[in-house]
Amino acid sequence: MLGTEPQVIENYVQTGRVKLVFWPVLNHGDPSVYATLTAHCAGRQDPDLFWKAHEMLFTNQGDLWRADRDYFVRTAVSAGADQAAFEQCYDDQGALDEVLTLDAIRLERGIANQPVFDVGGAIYGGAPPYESFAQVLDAALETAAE
Amino acid sequence: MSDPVDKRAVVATTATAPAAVGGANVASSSPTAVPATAALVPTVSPMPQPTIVEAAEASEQDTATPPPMPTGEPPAQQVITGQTADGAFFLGAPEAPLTLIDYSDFL
Repeated sequence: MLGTEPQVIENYVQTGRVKLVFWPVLNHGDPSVYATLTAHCAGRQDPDLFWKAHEMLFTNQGDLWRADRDYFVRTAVSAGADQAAFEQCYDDQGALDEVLTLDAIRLERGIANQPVFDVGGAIYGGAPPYESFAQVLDAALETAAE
Repeated sequence: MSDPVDKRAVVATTATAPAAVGGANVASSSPTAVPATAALVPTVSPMPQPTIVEAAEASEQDTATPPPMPTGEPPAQQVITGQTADGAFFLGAPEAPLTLIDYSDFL
């Protein structure tokens, strides 16, 4: 969603009309897991850091296939996370279990692929252009207002 | 010197995923990026017919953290960040009339 995300955030989230939830899908093995764990552990320190790490990870998506622990630590620190606290979280089985649990929940919900968007309970797949996204959001907001 | 490879057994991949990198999670010169393939539900198009499914429950007990106030300039619309009770991170007003859940993989 990164391509359309800035516009969605500016026009819908910042205006108070939409709450955006990121739900991890771990469909690409360990790289998915540890990238998600990176954002998750940054977010544990401060939820703002989750979104900073989220942006950095998506921006550098091409690096993630070969990323090692050092890479993810540097990413988190670049996002503003405290390194020691981040590493403690990253190495913690409990934090890993939280991420895996989120992935399990989305499977239970029938979300098998990505990206998938739940707009007020209605499910859409793919990566639509912003204009299409906006139409769906506007329609859902209208329904929610009724 | 690289940090020790993370040896924790993690997740089994799904049918659509390539083999896990696993223990060989080190830098290489030629990464092979495998684009995510998916059997997609209908993509969003103008005036789509939404598929009605069980609503994903957005927690009523989100843990919100207001961002720090910038000094000097009058603030733009503040965007709250936090975690839902399930542990997913959110951005925006917890009481917003509409919740958008982005199910995505960083890869």
